[in-house]
Amino acid sequence: MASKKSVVRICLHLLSVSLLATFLVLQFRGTNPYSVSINRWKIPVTENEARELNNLECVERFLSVIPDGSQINLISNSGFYWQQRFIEIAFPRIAIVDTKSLFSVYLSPESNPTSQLQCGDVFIGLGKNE
Amino acid sequence: MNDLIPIATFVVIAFPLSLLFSPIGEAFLVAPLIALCMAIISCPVQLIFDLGLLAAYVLVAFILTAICLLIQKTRRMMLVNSNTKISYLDLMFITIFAIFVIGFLINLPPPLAWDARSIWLFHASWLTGGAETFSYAQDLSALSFSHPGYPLGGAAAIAIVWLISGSTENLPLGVTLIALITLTNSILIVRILMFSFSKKAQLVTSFPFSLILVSLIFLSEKAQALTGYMDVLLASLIGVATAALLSVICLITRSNTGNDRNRFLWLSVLAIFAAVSIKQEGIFFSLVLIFTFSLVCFQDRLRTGFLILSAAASYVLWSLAIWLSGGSKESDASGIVTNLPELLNRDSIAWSNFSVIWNGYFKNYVVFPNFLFLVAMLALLTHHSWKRYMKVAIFASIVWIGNWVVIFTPYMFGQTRSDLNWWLDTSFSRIVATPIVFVIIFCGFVLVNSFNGLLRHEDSCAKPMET
Repeated sequence: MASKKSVVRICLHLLSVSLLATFLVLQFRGTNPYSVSINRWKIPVTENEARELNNLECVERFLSVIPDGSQINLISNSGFYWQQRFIEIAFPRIAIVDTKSLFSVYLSPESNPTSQLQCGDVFIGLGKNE
Repeated sequence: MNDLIPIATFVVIAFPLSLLFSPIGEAFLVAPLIALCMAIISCPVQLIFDLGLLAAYVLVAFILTAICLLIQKTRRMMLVNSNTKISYLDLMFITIFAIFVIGFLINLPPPLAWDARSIWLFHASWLTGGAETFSYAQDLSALSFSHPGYPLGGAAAIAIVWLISGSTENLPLGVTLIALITLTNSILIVRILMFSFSKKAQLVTSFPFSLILVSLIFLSEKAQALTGYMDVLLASLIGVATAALLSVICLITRSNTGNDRNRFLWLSVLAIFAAVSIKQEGIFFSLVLIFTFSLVCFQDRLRTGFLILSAAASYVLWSLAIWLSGGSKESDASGIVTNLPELLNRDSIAWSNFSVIWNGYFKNYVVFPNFLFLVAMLALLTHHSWKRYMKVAIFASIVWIGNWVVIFTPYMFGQTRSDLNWWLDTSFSRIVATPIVFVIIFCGFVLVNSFNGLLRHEDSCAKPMET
């Protein structure tokens, strides 16, 4: 017959294993993979995501007129977000340099004389330097 | 769905090599891991020989496959593994793979996550331009926000797939690749854990059990594996190494004949190699695993040596690639050694940061997984063959503590700690993926072995040692 000690150990083991299994299933329910999946199928792109994608495509279209391998000087007083997105879209097709180059691109949160296009909340302008 | 074709091409090149490590049914899970390792090697090869990245990848694959075919022992291993039968478990894992591909991978969210766009996918676009573009990018001050010195493994794999598909900067394709490698790693982890699962239990229990574990690992941290972040991929790589090393420790305890032991060791070597070149934390999580394995199996110097070599080789390749391109490696861990003496002063910034992390983040995010770990440890130590699990328990405890040390240390002592709240807000929920996946793996391991214990299954870790 099993000793008292081993009975306690077996009980503790069964208790902890069942706790473990229950918690894993609970965690699984918390992850809720199928609701994540179904939501994804229903709304592949949310409204905010669609707006952001449109804005990024707008910048991409704007940049497409600049020839491959060009260097541009980025002059920006808009926030980091647009500066970074702009550089990501431009490079490596177009290099962004600090020095004066053939093209200057102006990013601004407000419309000004250099602005030619609005993509979301940023105004973009392109200038050709002599 | 078309995205899966270039990804399949990228993986298929690695398939012959995966037969070195696994029987044919499991090899499809190992092939993406090997493809990732070959992409890591291709980076410095591209820079040294001024080849295109795709040419470097094909060259690396060709040379490695040719070497394995020329050596009689490895050729025999590949032949033996290619002649194995597809088992019930293999079919089950192929089904789980299909469920996740249909459920998630063919309809991913748009690639808008900051780290994905501004670091990993952006670096991949530099690599597609060849050595010259990559070196030029290291010099441009305008790109410094993108951390040009970060590890290149993920970016290299994405760049190769873009080059195969012929559409560079196809961001959704890059995100799909990262998600797919994370998925195959998650399934591989569960496959390793199921290695010792009783055959009596397979039909009834293994499918729901595996489905739950794969979901927990692959979708951990709010399904960030689907957004192009590298954190869950890193967690899955460290997870493969952890599950494989747990199995190695079990098999050493059982005095196994050696084949399976070696197979699991090589899987952990591959996973550690990839983890070090995926994200900066990879090296620290890998060191925790290697250090703990060397402590628990201190007599097994050869195996520890392979693990150290793997981590060192990957680190050297990353350093070499960055050095050849004229850049410098970056890490948020810099400054730790200088600030370490603050540990002795309770009024220091380090301790005040500790209380911010503990009260504001640790309690919110990870109390539950840590509680789960303690329950799993209690289950292991009350198992009827608990003495045979002592090495596993010591290994798991030290890795568990080590993982949290890796998480806390940069926040407490690192250079970027001056802006702690911003740093924690933008990174804590991602960086904890590795310790959380570790807890899930450990719980899975304990459940498999408890089940085997109930069935007195002979393949269990608790099988008496052969004399």
